[in-house]
Amino acid sequence: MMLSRRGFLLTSAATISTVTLAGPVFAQADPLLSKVDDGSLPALNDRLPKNPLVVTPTDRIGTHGGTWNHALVGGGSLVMLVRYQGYEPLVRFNPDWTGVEPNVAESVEVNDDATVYSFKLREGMKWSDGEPYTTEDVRFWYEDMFQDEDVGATRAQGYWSSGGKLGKLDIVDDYNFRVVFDVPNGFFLQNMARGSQDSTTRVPSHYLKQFHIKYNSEADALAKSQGLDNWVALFHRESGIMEENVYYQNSKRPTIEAWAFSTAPGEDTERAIAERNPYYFKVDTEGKQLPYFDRIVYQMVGDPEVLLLKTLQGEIDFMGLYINTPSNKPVLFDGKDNGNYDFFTMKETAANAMVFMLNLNHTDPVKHELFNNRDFRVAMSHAVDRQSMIDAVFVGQGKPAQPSILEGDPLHNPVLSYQYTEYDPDKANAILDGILPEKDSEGFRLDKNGNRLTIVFEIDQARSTFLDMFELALPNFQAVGIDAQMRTMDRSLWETRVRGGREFDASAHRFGANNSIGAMLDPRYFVPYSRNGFFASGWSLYFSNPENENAIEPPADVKAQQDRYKKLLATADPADQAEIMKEILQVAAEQFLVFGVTLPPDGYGIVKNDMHNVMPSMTNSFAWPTPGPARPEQFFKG
Amino acid sequence: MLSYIIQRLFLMIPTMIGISIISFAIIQLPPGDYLTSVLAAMADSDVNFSDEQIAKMRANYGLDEPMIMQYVKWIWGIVSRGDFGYSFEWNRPVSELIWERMGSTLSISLLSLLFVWAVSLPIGIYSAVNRHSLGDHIATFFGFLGLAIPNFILALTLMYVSFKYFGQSVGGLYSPEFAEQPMSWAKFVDLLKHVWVPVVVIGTAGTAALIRILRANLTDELNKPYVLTARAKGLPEHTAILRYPVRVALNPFVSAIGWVLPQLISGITITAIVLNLPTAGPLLLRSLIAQDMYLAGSFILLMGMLTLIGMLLSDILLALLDPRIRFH
Repeated sequence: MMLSRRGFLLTSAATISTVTLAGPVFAQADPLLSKVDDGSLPALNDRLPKNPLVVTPTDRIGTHGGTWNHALVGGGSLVMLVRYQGYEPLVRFNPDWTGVEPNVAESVEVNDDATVYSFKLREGMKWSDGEPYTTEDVRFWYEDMFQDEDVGATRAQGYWSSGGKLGKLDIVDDYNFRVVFDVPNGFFLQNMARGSQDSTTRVPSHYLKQFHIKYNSEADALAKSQGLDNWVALFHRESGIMEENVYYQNSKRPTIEAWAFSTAPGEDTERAIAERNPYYFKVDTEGKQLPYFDRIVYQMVGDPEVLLLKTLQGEIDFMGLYINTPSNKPVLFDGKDNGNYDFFTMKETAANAMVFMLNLNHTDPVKHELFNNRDFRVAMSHAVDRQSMIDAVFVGQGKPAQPSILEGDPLHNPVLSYQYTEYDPDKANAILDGILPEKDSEGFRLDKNGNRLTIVFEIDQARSTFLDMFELALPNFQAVGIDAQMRTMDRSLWETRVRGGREFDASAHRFGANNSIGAMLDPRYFVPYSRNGFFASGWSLYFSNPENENAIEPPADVKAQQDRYKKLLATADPADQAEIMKEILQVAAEQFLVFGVTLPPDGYGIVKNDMHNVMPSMTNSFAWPTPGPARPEQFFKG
Repeated sequence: MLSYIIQRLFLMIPTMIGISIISFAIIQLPPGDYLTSVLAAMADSDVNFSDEQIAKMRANYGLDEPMIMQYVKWIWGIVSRGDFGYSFEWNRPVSELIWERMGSTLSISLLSLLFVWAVSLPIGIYSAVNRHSLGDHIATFFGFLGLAIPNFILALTLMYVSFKYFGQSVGGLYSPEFAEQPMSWAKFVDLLKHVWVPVVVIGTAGTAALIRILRANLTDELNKPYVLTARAKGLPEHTAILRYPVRVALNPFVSAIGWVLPQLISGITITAIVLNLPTAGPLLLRSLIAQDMYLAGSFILLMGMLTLIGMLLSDILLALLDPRIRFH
């Protein structure tokens, strides 16, 4: 459902066509009938909310049962689980990512100027242990976790603030609550719908209260008995509210998600098993309770090559991570018949395949001045032979471009996309001759102080396509007299030096967004505003907290751009939002802070031929956590 | 002898303290800490934290304290209540994690050790007795081949072979359909189908070395007068060789035990990762990459201890096997 120009109401559109909601029909389709019969579970009608969410399957109605064979590489990638079983916010993105629709919430009403959001929860909705899910859980999160001094703000919840002020939570009754902002908060629902952002559906208060000092005065002693310093540490471990990894490592905590872990990752280091949640709140259009799959089994694999072999053997039902590299595509293509799987398209949403970033807040004054010279960046951009990189690294798929919005999107800006993308070393040399005319005996340019200009690109070694691209880019830069070098390093060192420091010369990264809705939520290459804007980390810090000791006041034009983004965040009207974003993109083209290589080529994933209801083409994004919004609960095998 | 053992045991204490300090310090040497890698993964998926939130999380993990304090806390937990600390990444006590992997680690390592001995002993003896024969050259050729091919390449090749020609599930110790079942005959057969790959891979590298050592030592012995005497007295050939010279040539096998014990844990790491084996090696590597310091520290401590015990064991065994050593 698209946002209308004025205040609006989001409700579920689909209805059950063939059966009425009341009556014994549910019981017939109960996948857990045997447990109901032996008395260990209540009847299906008593487990579902009064008004369950009706899911219209992608292709067809499925059958209950079966195991989704899945895999995770390495121990630390549980942050990926939101994609498969953890995407259950109050409101969610729709499958084609054109808007937001109700999920856990039955309906949401927004007032005209986007200051009051009224949520209605589903009456009779329950956690996986049968306890009711009500506004008390939302209140517990807001007051006792989000606002609690000791527990601290729970993960990144910036969207709960608008104009620097926190939204107020106003509980109406067990099923109704309102969030009230002083200043319009135009992106509240979109932010809530992003993967891993909404915490209100993740905190079973009846379970977590035993670890909270406010409700259990023995909480400290409980923590000490488990070898921890205080209740806060234990509370964080039990709730996992700060870290996705920890969130999924607890099989004891009830959930509202489609599958609940019976063996959580870490409880067993070889395999994790998630079983059907008997109280899940969704049904298909025939009234069958979802999910279709009885369980998901994740094999914990140490190495992507092993996963590749397992996929070729047909042991993996669905995979859109780790192994879907351009270089693996021929191997996977050849193995289609043997492994009984096929490809689906993953539409790339990153702003660019790789973004070159010169450190605009460099601690070295000479380089600082040089990198902040726009002409220097233009010359660097002209020096890059993008087509040869596309041919060599992306098998010819792609088109030279700067980080930008795709063609076909209403906010596409051709100048931003294609300026300075032609490979023209003569032009680059001409510009550079105007800035740094002196050269040393080897033909490298000398900086203001007479030293050879060396730019070291510090790259996270795990990003293998970057390394391939740099093999081609470094000679390009050297050809115009810039002694460009690459230093690869382990990710933790890279994080410390690049994301955490200002002493590096240059780096490269990707992500960001190439569509309107994504770019408004994450404009990292157009406005330095978050920790992801590490090409100008001091300016980025200034956006969120000018008082921070590491913050650097940006020049007036960048500051104006940051103010434009602040204005966008406080704007509710979609037409006005588009207008402001258009301006931001135009200014970004003028400022030209970073430069890229190519439009990111579409990726692919693999899905078994007997797995159904998977969309043949899906967005690939963290905000739209592939395939979460495509509703894995209605995937089935048959 | 007894007083010698006791003396050695006492000497181990300061060594252990040294090992624990150095290992803890080395783990902390790389920049950043466990939280850095966690935050990196979350920043990639666009979940960002403010500095205050990060400070709070750091405090929860006890990472805000100076290294000395972290060390003292950890060591005190081990000494006072056998608590090796908590693994950040797996969110479980370290001791549980390590024990869980010990069974499979020990059995695979011991199996490969037996494989190495079973192959290298007869071949080594054969090569020494029939030096420069065709059989000796063939054995040496394959031995060197095994030594030269990196384990992980061999592992990948064998995996491909077993996938392509035997059509069986690769990686791990069981096929998925058996993974959760209790032990049964069918499951045992499935295990045998999988376990030969790691055993062969790990075994081949060790075999060549032992064949060469045995061949060299035994060659020395065979030329000594006492062998001549034995033969002159008319002892059967196999007794003349197996009873005395082989026993002497076995010394390197026994002294190898000292390094075999820690090798049981870390020696097969790369192979285990490639083959997706549930052994301790991949867990150790992962903990080092993630800077999961208590898990990594406990592993290194354990390996240090096993090395010391292994050395002691091999010294005692050598003394029992070879009376000459006792006199030194």
